[in-house]
Amino acid sequence: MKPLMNLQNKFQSYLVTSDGDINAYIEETKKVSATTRLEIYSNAYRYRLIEALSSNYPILQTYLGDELFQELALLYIASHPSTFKSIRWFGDQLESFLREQYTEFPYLAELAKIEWHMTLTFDAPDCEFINIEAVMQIPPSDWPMMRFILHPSVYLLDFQWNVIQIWQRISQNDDPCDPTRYDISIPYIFWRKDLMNQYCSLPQDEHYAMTSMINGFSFGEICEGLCQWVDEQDAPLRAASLLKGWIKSGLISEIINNGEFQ
Amino acid sequence: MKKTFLGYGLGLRTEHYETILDTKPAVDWFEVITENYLVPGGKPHYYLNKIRENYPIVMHGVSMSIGSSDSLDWEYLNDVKSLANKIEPQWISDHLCWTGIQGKNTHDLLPLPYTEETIQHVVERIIQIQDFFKQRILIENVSSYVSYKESTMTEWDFLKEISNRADCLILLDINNIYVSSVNHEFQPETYLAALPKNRIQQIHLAGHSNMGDYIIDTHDHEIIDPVWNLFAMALEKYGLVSTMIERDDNIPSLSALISELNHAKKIAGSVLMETEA
Repeated sequence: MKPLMNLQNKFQSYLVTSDGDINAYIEETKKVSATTRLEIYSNAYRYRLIEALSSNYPILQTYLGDELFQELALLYIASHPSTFKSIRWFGDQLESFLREQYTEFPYLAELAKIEWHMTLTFDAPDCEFINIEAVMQIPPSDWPMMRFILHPSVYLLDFQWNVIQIWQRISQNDDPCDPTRYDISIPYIFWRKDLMNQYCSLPQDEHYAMTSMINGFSFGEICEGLCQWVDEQDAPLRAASLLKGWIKSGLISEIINNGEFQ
Repeated sequence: MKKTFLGYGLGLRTEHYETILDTKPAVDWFEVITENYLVPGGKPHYYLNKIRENYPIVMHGVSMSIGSSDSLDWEYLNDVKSLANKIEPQWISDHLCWTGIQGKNTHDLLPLPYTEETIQHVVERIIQIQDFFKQRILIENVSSYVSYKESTMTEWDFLKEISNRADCLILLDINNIYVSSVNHEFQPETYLAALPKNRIQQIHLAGHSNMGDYIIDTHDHEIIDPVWNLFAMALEKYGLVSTMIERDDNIPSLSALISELNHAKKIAGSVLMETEA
């Protein structure tokens, strides 16, 4: 299939890099030249990928404005041709691209981080979550050994800039606030419940507990760690309170009790 | 070869999910874009599962890249097969085109050169895909804006030969024939006359954008009269064929699309009456 491969190679090079001598392979008519015919494809190629980025990053687009967004999109398209079967995944590297290429505007990468993770949360695998009754059935003596499996839609993200506020204001059709850098980064949790994306910021102790849970720590180990913030005798109560909140929010898919899934 | 007639359908679009569930409209079936459901979970699967409780579904892919000189992507084909096992579509279709090589995807339906070598290549791949899916697939004619100097035959001979040799079915896009007939200056009736009647399993209807000297297949307008006329001619030749309207941009209300679909039904009814008379 050398002739076919050769032709496809030239056509794709023309689309992706605007290089190649594909014109010589194309028939033209009196009405429409080979160049015009090929431009229909090259315009459609870029338009479709810009549209995909626009669909995945609508708030970033509003923040930048159409012209700057298009400029960014074209740079990204040129350096990251799609390798995905579904165009839905195009744009997966935009956060790191912005971090590397737009170093003067570090908050843009964080804005992209929100939007990309919103799409990941949205499309995450479906999974049951446990209710309070399931936990109440576990004997108190087993609680220290309990470990937890989070719902697959959960993402824990840190932000150094007030991009959540910028994202919220644009989502509500308000003017965005000025970007401001925090002294210390703020952790947020993103997840999906009843098909709707949810998010909230986490206090320090909850961030610690959530990170520990993700890393496979037991309930007892999390209680010990919480002693950094509360008295030792209050730690189990704080941990139980956090666990209740997570269960009510639909964050926990499974509890592992001595190796048995609940 | 017995053809299944599903009636008159629409492309399932996210904008209409809620209306379909709430109103259970008089649409005979829905066509889904396969790749839109190759995600782990969430809303797309929720709505598709709900809608398929009440409507037959067919799967229509855009990334099989049947004519690519890359090897077949078995991971993708496995994903398509898994989705098909879950939603049990009436059939699976994709396009007679290529979408990329060297692992890239241009996300466009790029035309193939119409040569004997390409026929052999595509036929071999369709046979492999059909063996893997354990069912015949439908291949759709794409609209095109270029033709290659190395082509040695017409598009309709190319399509006919591939469908016969691979023993696959055809998803005939009437609008694409019309678009290509203007772009490449051929008679669309010749195209219709050449195809094997018993392989036409489904028809697509859609609108396009007229740019003056050429037409672009944009799926963002209503269907125009010359395409309706061509549709009527197709039914005269092929008999009743499962027919649906594709709308991918500038998407109107579901009721507007159903009105357009009713027009297709009316044309089919008239053609059928004349044929029987």
